[in-house]
Amino acid sequence: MTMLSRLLPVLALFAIVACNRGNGGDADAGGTLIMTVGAEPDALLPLTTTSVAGNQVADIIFERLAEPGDSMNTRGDGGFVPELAERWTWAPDSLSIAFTLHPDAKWHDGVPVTARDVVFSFDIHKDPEVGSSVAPLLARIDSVTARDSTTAVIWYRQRYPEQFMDAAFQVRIHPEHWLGKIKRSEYTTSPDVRSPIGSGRFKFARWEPGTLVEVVANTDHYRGRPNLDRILWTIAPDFNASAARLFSGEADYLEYLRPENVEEIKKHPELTMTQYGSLDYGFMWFNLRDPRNNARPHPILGDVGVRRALSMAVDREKAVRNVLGDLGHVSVGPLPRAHLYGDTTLRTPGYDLEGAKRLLDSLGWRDTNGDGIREKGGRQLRFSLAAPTSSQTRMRFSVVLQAMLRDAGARVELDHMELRAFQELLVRKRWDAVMQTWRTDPTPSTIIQTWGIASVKDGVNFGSYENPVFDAYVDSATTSMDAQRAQAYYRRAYETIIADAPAVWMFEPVNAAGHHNRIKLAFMRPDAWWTRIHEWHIPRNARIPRDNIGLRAATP
Amino acid sequence: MRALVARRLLQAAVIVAIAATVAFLLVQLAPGDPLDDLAENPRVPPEVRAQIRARWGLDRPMHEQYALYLRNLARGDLGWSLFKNRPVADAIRDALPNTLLLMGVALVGAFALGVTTGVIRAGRRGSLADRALGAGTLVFYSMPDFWLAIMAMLLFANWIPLFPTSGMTTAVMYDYLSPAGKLFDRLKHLVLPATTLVLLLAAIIARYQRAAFLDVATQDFVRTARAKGVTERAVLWRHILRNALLPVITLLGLALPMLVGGAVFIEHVFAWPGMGALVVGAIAARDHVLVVAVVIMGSGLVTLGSLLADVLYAVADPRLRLHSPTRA
Amino acid sequence: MRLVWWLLVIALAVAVAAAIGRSWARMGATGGPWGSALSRLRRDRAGMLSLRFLVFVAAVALFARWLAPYDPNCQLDIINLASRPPSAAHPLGTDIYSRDVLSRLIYGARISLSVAVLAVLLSITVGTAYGAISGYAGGRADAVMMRVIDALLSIPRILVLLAIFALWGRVSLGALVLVIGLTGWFGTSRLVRAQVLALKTEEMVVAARALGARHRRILWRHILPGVTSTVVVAATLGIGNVIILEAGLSFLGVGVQPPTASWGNMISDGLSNVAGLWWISLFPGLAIVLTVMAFNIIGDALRDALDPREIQAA
Repeated sequence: MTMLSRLLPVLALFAIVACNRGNGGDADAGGTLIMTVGAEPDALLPLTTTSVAGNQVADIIFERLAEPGDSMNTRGDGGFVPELAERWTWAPDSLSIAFTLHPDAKWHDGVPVTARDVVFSFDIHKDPEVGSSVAPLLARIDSVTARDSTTAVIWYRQRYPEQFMDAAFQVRIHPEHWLGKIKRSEYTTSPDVRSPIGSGRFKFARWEPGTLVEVVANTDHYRGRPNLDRILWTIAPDFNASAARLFSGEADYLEYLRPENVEEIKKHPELTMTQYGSLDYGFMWFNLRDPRNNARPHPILGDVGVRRALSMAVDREKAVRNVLGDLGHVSVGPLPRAHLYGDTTLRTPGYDLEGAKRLLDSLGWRDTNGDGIREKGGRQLRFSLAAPTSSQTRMRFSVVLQAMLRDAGARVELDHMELRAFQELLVRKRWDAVMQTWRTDPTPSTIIQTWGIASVKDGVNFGSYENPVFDAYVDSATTSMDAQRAQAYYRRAYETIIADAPAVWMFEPVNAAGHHNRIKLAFMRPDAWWTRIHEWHIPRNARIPRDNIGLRAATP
Repeated sequence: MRALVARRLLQAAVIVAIAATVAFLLVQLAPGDPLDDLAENPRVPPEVRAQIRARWGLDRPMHEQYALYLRNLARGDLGWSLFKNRPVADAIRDALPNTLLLMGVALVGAFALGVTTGVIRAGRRGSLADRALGAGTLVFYSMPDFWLAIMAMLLFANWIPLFPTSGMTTAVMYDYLSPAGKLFDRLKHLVLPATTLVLLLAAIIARYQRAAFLDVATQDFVRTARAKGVTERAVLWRHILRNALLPVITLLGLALPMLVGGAVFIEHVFAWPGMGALVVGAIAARDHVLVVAVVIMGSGLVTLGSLLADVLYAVADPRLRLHSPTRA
Repeated sequence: MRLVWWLLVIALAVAVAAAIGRSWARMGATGGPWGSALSRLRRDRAGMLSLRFLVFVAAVALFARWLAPYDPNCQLDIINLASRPPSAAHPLGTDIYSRDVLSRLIYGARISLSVAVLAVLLSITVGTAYGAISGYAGGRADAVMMRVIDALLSIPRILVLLAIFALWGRVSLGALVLVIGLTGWFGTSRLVRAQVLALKTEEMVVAARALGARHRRILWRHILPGVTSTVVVAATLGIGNVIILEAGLSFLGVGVQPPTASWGNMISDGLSNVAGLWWISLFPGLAIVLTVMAFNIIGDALRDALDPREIQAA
């Protein structure tokens, strides 16, 4: 519980809209929520979708055994809220957990949800032929069996702190009686998977490609119907067009406002801005290896002293204010504040331009020819900084950084490129520096995937940061069953990587949704703001014509 | 006549084939592939990535991929779009009618407006109307198309909210409207993108039309007609306009590629779910199968347009039937 | 690097002026088409106004260093001076990075104009050569060459450009010119070919051929001078098109790389919030419209002056 109380101040930050659920039940049910989004889902099956847009819809149609609570605790089962599972029992040796399904749980076509569906779901997630991205996370799960029609047992190879989460959170339960009929190699291509059958509070209604996705209330849900009648995602790839739909009243909800929209929202009395937490952090990433020959260290950025000096030369507070306005914080390190172990007391290099200059001088980087750029041994202090054109935020940070580093005598050449070209550059490690953002899981343990040594060769550690000390601390933290010790290990891991300065930890966005006043929101979890969307409601007296359509299906 | 059409059709097929090949090469050569998002995703292990690449043949050399593509194409299979996660044919079937609708409306509107403007200007040469229309034509002719679209959107989204600024229909309510209501709703959504396209295209047509008109007006038979005492009105309508329309017909062939290109920006800005929006997304996603399919459609449309223009021209101008059918 | 650019552009401008002046001197004396064309052009008020405007823009571009009130890439104060509307200190306001819009507009003229001029020069050269060869060769070679052009014209140019820029990743100014230039000559080659076909049957050329003159000599002496007017008109109109194209590329995020200012990327700097920060996008937009208009007016005037019956340019 100490954990939770430590977290409370952080939570208070997100709970800006305190919404009383309006316990009206069915009497208050009704209403249409139209969201305006930029990206179309790639798929609606949780198993196969790899996009944020797809996951959002899939999360609403499908369910997990249990859902992490608002605290996003990931160790043990503390805070987890029952979903498809009514309850669970741990084996005395902690090597298996038995989940008992809710007796009334039904698929959207009326077939009951059984333990066989659970067995099937784990099987397809682990099947290499399906190629689910979740598969590696299930490596420590040995098998899943059905004890009886409503009890599924997960068997583990070993006990570890996040074993409950891996079973309850990573896998969403899919119906065997429907999906079992489709060949596994065709889970991405079969036309049938475009109209999925789930067990969630909303059921799939239609998907008009390039235009919209619609779900409607599942009035037969075993925990009661959701308040809203229907939710639509309307698609407009251009952000301005997407935002225009909110401001013109065509849509009710925009999940990520940009800083420049904040002023505009204020001009619309019918609209409100609601802030919620984020699990993203953004940074200027240094390549520690030579882009031309990865066996050698980077001729400039391979030196930790240079990296620290560059970090000190950046006035991050100013940069964040300029680019993100009120919708951002200065980053605390390679982790978001909202993490359970997100330690806001970590010390990252502060702004000290003179100190940066002195440090560079002492390292031998001096401007000897008076052109404003430092040199050392005939080499200029000059490197490229790439950013994808798909991200307004990253492009803007790169331009601000370029100007700031110029004051310290470093010449930064910007490469703004199309997303795919950027990704190619990144993966091939042919860059000096890039603007990058990582979206983390609720669990801090995944930091090893982004900054660990093993990920240099086969993973996403494209900057080739390698420090065995960091790896060891993270390993100790993730395997320690004692929460407080784990926290201490994490802190040391963070301190280690911050001292090595493989990046300038720049920013952490504050998410802000813009929405119509009549929509009353519930708590929005930083990793998935929609987890309580079934509690959202529209008071009867505030409804507009489209709220009163009822559950009637659209006539084409 | 039939030989001309047959020959032009054959040529059109060759042109489309070349265009498709060039497009395939360009997208293949561009860095990145449709599965790059996975490479950047820390949760996806390299084995899974390699396996998915192999499934779609992305690990094979380019010429093999192209051969495979052609084989499928010969069987009438346009392929699978990794970007849309559905068959390419389905994606196009959804997008094409939307683009044709927008382009059809824009073409008719632009020709009507452009020809009228051109005729008025040429008929009243040097008048205030000529100069005012000339200035207007020039302004739109000199304007970046996306800029006009964004300005129109700004104007109508913020200051005069008369017309919807995005999409083809009102999100939800459309499905519950009466048939007349549905039609009205569609028309309302068509106003801004179509008007933008019409203005841009009409400016081009009007410039051609005026020049063609003046060209005809200075020719001998017009002078003869005037000398014979035919009224100015009759000269204008019977002699000049009919002949000045000829070169405008060839514009049809030129207007289509302009529309295909212009529609890319306009569809993007107004969130019109058509081929332009599709191809922008497909290029960004390196979905070469989808890109090539769109290029085949686009270049097919364009060559068809110029073929149509040639035939129309031949029908309208008997002299041409005797001469070489190749266009200058 | 920048110096080299400037020398190039200035050298080109001088060359073009000299060429026009020479043909004027030569033809003017004998009352040839250029002479009468120029006197007709002088009487065209809109044309002369546009010409003066362009000279003004070119002068601004050339003397940007002395005219611009601020360093165009200097972020003055990213907290207190970012996104300021027009004021006495910043007549056209500041952009989202607190850079002075007027200074960027002045420096942007350099980039936008020189990219357009150089790209058009390239495409005109290639297009003229291709069209002249195709038209002069005639027969099967001509048919094949023209079908290739048909195919190239039927791929939307924007698709080609996007793919190429994606291929190259970083786009230097030189690369930008090269790509725009090399994808813009198809229309010109068609026009030139049509003109050459007509010229081929003219008595002088027929006579020269009959006398056994070499092909190269005929092309240089008789064909190319005959297509000059078409090419000059196409080039003038083409510059306007390229300025617009560069803006379109910047809209899509490729094009001139920051912090270098071009009118195109200045527009896209303001697009994230056009309604709120209209001045960032409006002024470069206006600059584009006015400059392109001027080029078009001059192009039209030139065409009318050179040959009122000339077929329209691409």
